[in-house]
Formats: sequence, structure tokens, C-alpha cells
Amino acid sequence: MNHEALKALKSDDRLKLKSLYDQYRSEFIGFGKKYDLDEDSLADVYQEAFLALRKRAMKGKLDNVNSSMKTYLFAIGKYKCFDTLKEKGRSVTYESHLHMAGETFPDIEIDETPSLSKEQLLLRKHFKELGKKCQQVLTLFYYRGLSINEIVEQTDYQNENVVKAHKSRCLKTLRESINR
Amino acid sequence: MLLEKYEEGSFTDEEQKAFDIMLKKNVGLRKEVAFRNDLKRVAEAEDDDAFRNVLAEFEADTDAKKSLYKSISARWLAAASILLLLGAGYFFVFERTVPTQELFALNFEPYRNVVHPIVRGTVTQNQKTKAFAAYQTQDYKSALQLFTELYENEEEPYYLFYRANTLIQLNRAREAVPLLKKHLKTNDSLAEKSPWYLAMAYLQLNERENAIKMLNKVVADSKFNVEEATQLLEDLD
Repeated sequence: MNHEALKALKSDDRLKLKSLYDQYRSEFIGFGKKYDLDEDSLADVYQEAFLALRKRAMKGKLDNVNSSMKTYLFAIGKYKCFDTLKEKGRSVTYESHLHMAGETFPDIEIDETPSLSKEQLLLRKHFKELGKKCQQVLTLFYYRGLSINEIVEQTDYQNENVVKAHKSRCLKTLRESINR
Repeated sequence: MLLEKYEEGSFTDEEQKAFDIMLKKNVGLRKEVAFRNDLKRVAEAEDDDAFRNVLAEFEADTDAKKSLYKSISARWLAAASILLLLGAGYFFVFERTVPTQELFALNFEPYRNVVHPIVRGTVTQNQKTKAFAAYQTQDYKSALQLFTELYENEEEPYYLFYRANTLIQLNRAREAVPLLKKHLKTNDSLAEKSPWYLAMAYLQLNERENAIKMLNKVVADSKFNVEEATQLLEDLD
């Protein structure tokens, strides 16, 4: 997969993200029409597929993928189309559209993100009350999997020690606010 | 410290075993690990929600453009159909190509500071340090002003290069082109990178032919971003 595009997908750079988003959108809508879904539903499917693609990128699942970003995105989108059809109570023939002209889709398991537990919902409430900077460092470290060093490179923290100190202060604040 | 190592995933096999045993015995440690795992999930949910909002904005933007096209299309349909017939061949080619500015957005990134490493906490704040510190912290407006003054005073060629990078970042590629052309003629060690950034400037300016010419030079020179240039030439084809 194109390294620069992957980097753009993982970034917070809106210009680059928008450009990626627009790059495949109309083609995807065209591709999805064969499933007899209207344009609004397909736009929703495309957004969900794009989000799922980004989540995979964050988790490092796309680093060693050989197919192009477009093929991978469309493969996710295809599954999401089937899901939407099922939700609408329409029957689907899975075998009929497994291939796009000249391209074979990679096998993709769609792992649904489980909903939050009671403890996690409570934690989320307190997480939202943290300052933006705390939310950022915790998200970069715990969800996006950036190392301390990468956080220094991508943000305006001065060095690794400052990041570590700030991260542990944020954890402490969060812990205390839950136990209060 | 132990938890930090655990989070980094830098345990040796033995340390991992010891940690697992400790985890079974120590309730406090177990709670802390569970807390951090929950935090991972919460951060993910929050990040996803924020990204959904971004995507909704992108979609709203697309909708706005679409309705604009719709209102224009009714009025211009007759005229456009004639134009389409006249220029069908050109139109077909034009439709298939990826806009150069999109390719620019995907490929451009200001070149990193290799001239003057900024040591954090340094007390000496001469103008050169200030300029590169501004550049590194993405304060491009200040960086531009400082690089311009520095070049006027010292005439070091690398200031041309970084000034051009700053201008491209600020969407002012038109002003960056002459600087990069000038830099290309110098003996500066960074000059081998200038053709790539000239190509980036031309992409931003939508000057397809010039961009292709420069990218061909990047490939021919075979020194910097050759792979990226080859890919871009394919995209521009």
C-alpha cells in the first residue's frame, strides 16, 4: 500500500484526509449502486468504510498489505453494503459481486468493535472532562499506538521526559476523578 | 517503570513470565492493567467519534458542491451539451485525470531541518535558531520572515531552500518557484532535493507539464524521492 497515503490516513492533516476521502468517493458510489442502494445509504456506507480503513491503519494492520488502498477500501465497503442490505431486510446473494472488474478483493474479516462496558462508559465520562492536551497524549499513546518518541516528533512536547511526566499526571488525574 | 516497560512491549521472555506471575498475585497491579486496557477502548471510541464528525463535514462539503453543480447544470445544459460534442475527446481525457492539487496534498511535506538542529532548552536564541525553531514547530509565518532576512544578510543557499519550502506550505508556490530555481544552481548539498520541491510547487499551481518535467528530472538524477516521483508520474499519466 502506498506509504504516503497510509501516513496521510493516520494523520490529523485535514487537507490530506479530505483529498483521500474525495479521491475514491464517487467511484465507490458508482460501484455500490449495483447493490441497489440509494446514494444517501452509499454515502453512509462509504463513511463507515473509510473510518474502518483508518482504524485498521492505526492498528498497524495495513502495514504489510499488498493490495492498493482503493481495493482494500472497496473490499470493506462491499461488506458494509451487505450489512446495510441485511439491516433493510433484503436478501443478498453474496457470491454474485465478489470481484470488481479485473481486481480480486483481499479477504477481510470485519471485526466489529464491541460496545463499551459499564466501567468503560464511566471512564469515558471522566476522560471527556480532562483537558484537551491530556486527551491528546492519552489517545496518541493508548489508541494510536505512538511511542513516546513519536509523540515528541508529532506534537509540540519538548522531549520524551516531558511526555512521560505529562502522561502519568493525566493518568493520575483520571484515576483520582473516578475514585472521588 | 515496570508498567511502562509492559506498555512498550519491551519485556524479555523472562520478564514477561515474572510479570504474569505478579499479575496473578497482585490485585493492585491487575486493577491498573485493567484500567489502562479500558482507557485504550475509551480513547478509541472518542477518536472514532471525532473522526466521524470530520467525515460528516467532508460529506457536507461534497453535498454543497453537488447542489451547486445541479443549479448550474440546468441553466447551462444546452450550451454544455454542444461543448461536450465539440470537445468530447478532450473532455474524456480531462475527466480521467486526478487533479494535480490533490496529488500535491498527498505528496508534499516540508523538508525536515537538517541544517541547524534545535536543542531544546538552549539559551542562545540567535536568529538562525529562531528561524529553524519556528520552522520545526510549524510556525511558518515567522519562519518565512526570518529565513528571508537571514538570506538577505548571509546569502547562505540553504535559506533559499527552506524559504521555498515554507512558501509552498503557506500555499504561495508561485513565489517558491524562482527561489528553488536559484537554489538548484548553487553548490549547496540540499540542491539535489530542489527538483522534487519544484515539482511540488508546480503541482500546487496546477502546472501539470512543468511538474512532469521536474519529476522526470528527479527520476533521472536518481538521488532523492525517486520512488515517489515514479509513482507520481504514473498518477499524472
